[in-house]
Amino acid sequence: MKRSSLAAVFLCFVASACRPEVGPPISQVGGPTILAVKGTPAEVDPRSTKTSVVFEALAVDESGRVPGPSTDIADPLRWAICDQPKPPTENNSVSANCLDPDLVPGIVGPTPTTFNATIASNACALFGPTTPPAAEGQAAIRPRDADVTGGYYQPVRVELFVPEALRRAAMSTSESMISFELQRIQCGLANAQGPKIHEYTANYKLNTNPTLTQVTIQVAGATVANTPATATAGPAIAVSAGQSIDLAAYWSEDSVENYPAWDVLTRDLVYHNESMRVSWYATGGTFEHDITGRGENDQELFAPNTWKSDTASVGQVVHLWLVLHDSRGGTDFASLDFNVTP
Amino acid sequence: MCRLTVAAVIVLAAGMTLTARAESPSSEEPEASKGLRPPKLRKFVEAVYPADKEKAGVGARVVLSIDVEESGHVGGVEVVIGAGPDFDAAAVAAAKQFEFDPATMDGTPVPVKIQYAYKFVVKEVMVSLGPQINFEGVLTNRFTKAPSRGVKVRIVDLNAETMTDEDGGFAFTDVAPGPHVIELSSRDLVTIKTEEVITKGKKKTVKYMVEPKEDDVDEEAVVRAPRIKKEVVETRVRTEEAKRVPGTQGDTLKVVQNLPGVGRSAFGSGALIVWGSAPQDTRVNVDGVEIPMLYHVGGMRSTINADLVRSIDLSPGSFGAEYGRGLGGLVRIELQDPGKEGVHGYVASDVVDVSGMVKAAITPNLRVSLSGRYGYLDKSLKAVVSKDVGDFFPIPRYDDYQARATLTLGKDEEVSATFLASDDHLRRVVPSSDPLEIKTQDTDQSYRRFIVRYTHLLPDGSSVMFAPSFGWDQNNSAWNFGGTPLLLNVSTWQYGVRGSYRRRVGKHVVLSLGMDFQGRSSTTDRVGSLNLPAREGDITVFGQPPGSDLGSDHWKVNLLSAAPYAFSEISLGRLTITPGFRLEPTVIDGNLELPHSYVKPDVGYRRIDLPRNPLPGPLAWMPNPRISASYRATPKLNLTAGAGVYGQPPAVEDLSPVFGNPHLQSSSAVHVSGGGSYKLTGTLNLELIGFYKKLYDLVARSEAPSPPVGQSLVQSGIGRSYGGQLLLRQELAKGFFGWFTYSLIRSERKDSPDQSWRLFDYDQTHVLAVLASYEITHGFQAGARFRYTTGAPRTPVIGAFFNAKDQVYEPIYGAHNSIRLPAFYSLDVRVEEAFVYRRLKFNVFADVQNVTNRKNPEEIIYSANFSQRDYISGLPVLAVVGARMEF
Repeated sequence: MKRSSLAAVFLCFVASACRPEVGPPISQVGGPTILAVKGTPAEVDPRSTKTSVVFEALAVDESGRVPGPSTDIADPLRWAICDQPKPPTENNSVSANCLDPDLVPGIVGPTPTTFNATIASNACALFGPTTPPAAEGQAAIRPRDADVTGGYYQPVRVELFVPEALRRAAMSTSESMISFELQRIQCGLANAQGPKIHEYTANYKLNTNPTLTQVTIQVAGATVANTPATATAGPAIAVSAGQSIDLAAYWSEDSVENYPAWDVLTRDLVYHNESMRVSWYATGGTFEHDITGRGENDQELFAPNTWKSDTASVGQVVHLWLVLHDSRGGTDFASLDFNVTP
Repeated sequence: MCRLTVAAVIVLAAGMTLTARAESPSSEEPEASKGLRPPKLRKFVEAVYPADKEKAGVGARVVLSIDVEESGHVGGVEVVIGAGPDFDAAAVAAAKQFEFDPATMDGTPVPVKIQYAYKFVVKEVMVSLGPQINFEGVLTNRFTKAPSRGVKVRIVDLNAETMTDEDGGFAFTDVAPGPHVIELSSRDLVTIKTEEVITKGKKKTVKYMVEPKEDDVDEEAVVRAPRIKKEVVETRVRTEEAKRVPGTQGDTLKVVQNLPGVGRSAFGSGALIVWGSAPQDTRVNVDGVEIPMLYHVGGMRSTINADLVRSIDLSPGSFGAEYGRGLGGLVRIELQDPGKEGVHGYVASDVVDVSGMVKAAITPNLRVSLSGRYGYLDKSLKAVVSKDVGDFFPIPRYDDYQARATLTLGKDEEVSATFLASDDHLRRVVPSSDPLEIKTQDTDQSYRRFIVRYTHLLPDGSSVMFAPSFGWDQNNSAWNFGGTPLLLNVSTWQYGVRGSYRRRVGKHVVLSLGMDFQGRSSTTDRVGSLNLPAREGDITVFGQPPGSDLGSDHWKVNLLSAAPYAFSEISLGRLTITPGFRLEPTVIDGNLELPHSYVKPDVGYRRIDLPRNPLPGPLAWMPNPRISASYRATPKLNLTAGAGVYGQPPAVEDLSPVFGNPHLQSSSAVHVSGGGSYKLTGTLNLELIGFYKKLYDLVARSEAPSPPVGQSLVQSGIGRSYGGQLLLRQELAKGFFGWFTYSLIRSERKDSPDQSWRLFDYDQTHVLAVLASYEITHGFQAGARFRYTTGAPRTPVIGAFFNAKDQVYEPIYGAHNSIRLPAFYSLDVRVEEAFVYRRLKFNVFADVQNVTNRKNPEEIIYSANFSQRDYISGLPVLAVVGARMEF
């Protein structure tokens, strides 16, 4: 008691310079947004002839997946392949020019949520290391740097028109939300010793999308349901308000691929297993973690999380979405519905 | 004779050491007739000072526990903290004779126990022994050091005068206390005036060094000042003042942060922002040798022991030709002699760190000192703040240590050797359930300097200085953002020689010639995104993760710069002009002109670089011209003006062909300043300065969507800063000092000429500081400081898009640096008690920063989707309590 009194009088840091909690967590879906874009195949080689990709977006709002004729948002998504490289002055993952509809006009896909595109043959020049030869008397263009997995990415813009009644602060434009998919492109291994380039070329397999297989749902250790992980939610599962639900997202064993990548620290070719991340989203309740996952040395094939239903959702269907990403950009997603009872 | 100082501390709060025998112990706020009212001393009896201790001048403090009866008489007396049997007995004997108005509870007398602290202090007694000499001195020839005999010394305001004797000495008796104007004149000497302050009960001894009058010159004001002030704008702080500034925790060098023209650095940075310049553009010199950092990471402490410092000078711009290689300001630190006699030192500790020093005179001519400091703020903070503070603010562990030896070779000839070392270590791990959100940071920053300095004042009045030095800087940073590694390791050997020669060459001219050679040999490894570390002008939000692109480079650069300089002091009556120049060529030698390739051999480069002189016409051919002028309009009013061209070689970190540009050249700047100072009283001074700085060839990121190889950085930036500063300063006199400073500054940049001006990242329009410190009683002093600064510019977020691959929202920005953080203000208080106990001097202090608990915003933080924002505030109340023992 004496010591604590003295500490209060003399010592120090009376309050805590603490981390402010600002706004809702990213896992809370509070309005129209696009949570994921799945490109199939997950990786293409622009130097080859197989450069077509089918994109599917997971666009949602509080009523569920959008757009659709029975939802508040009817306009189909608008898509664009952005050919604007990012200058060194910008810190975001894509150039600010990619947001400009005049520079990069958007178009509608075959369905409200899908888009078919062909990755341009110069993608590795724009976004990769294959820069064109220097003109006479001029310096060559600086090659782009790969990420830690050795990947280069083509930005794909997808835009969701938001009706006036559903608009919120900090949208992407005054009337829409924009997401970017970074479609992985294979541009080979740049600036390495010849034998390493040969080894890389021989052993590198284009990435494939991972597959969510099932979601287990437990309450107090007892299994409530094991549902197949599908993009469209099955029948709503009844849960009580305030109940903590233990969830686990499982993926298939072949989702975790092994791949070679150039290690910039050791300057050698290193083989990695993909790490896996699951992003959790819901229109109600709260998650213990927004994202859970497994590192590349973790062999487990699932990621657990806990979701707690809230009383505000009583009598409503709460939509949950899971987005699985492998570390090379492969994607899968699934939906779940919960019916919250008192 | 003795005087007993009684400090009564009545501790009535529950849970503390005193127990009150009263019925309502919970009543903590006694009122006149309600609750517990403490006893009041009615009869005080002075203790008998132990004769031998008084004779030896030994003081003491005895803490007693006294039972005060209901009648007000003293019951038992016990010694709580003793000071030796004789002091204890004397104090107890005196206390037993005390009488009190008794303590009351709800108006009824009650017995209580109280604590008394006796202080035995040897009283200084002024005994009138007739007329006493209280102002004396000696005059010598400035150049020959010969006594100046036959000079009339006159106290103008008292109309008293005397003549110097054969030894140049003079003396006055019973000069009235207060400031006096002293005039020195003779047939062979220029008449000069100066001012001295006589303090009651103390003898003032002065030494004037004067120059003979030149032929045919009637008047020339040349008095050798304690030091030569060459800079037009310069603020010097005495260490006695600096140690007492609130908020500095007694760290002399932290006072720089309170000087005019200096912006406030964000908590955790320790950056020096001077007249709108980037922190890395301001140079810090210790005895003429550059060191890389004045403060440890976080800015809590300086990297040099405060007791090693004789003085600190800050020149925010327009400084002379002696120094260069920087576009911003100049901080000069002079180290002091370890001490002439005996063995002395100190040990000090507070909640931030522990430090100590030992200095000894090995022989009368050889003095040495050793000092060191070890910081443990990382451990102290963990005990009292939330654990995630470290996620936001770097809380480093640091140490520094110094060794210094001074050898007197002869009259006015000395050589010193100094070793300086500083280390900072920072470790952070932020765990997460998300593999991509696990963050680690591992940073080590160190420097070493070994400086030899030879000085000789020759019999003809000329002076020589020669200072070779070498050192080593290490700056290693490794981050890992969810498996994405980032690395920046810079290792530099630095070596240099500084030499100067100064002598009178004409009737009115003193010439200084010098050479400032500096070599830096750096090896750098970097891995990571092009955008990390961030640069000034980057548009980003706090906490934004770096790009996922991973570049890699390993490069070596040698920078060799030999800078001859010359300047002359031309005295023309009241006007002194100091023109000078500095030629600053730099050889830049690198091993990589293009990124390392496995198919082509590496190609290096070597070139000589000269800072561009942006002045128009023929002035453009002058090598970094500098000029200053001082005009003493009246004895109290001094007008100054200055200008100069400054250069700064490129940073080695920017010369990477992967991340930067190996072809970068020096940046340059033009400084212009002018103003004046007015001496309101002998110790109160008012100074007003205006300035303008223009910056050229600044390094900025390339705006090209696909920049050429080796041109990620370009030299297209320009900048300007302008404004003024006001300083009203009361120098230390009669235990009081203080100052009021206000700076009005605007600093802007263009990253390329076709852009419009934007605010500089560190721009602070208003910077105000008021501080004062007063010695209330002998040994007890208190002070306060108030600071106000405009918040730093930030770029607003006006929208966001979703990055579906990384599952994060990314910001869409508004106009560059178009909003500001809210203003910062803070009131800091410092109290200090000094006392002597058995020939040891103790200081106990409490330095409380931000006593109003103002939540000063340090950064903007956004919600996950950027729809909401809030501020991260700095540490609310920081109370550093410490103690120091000197021997």
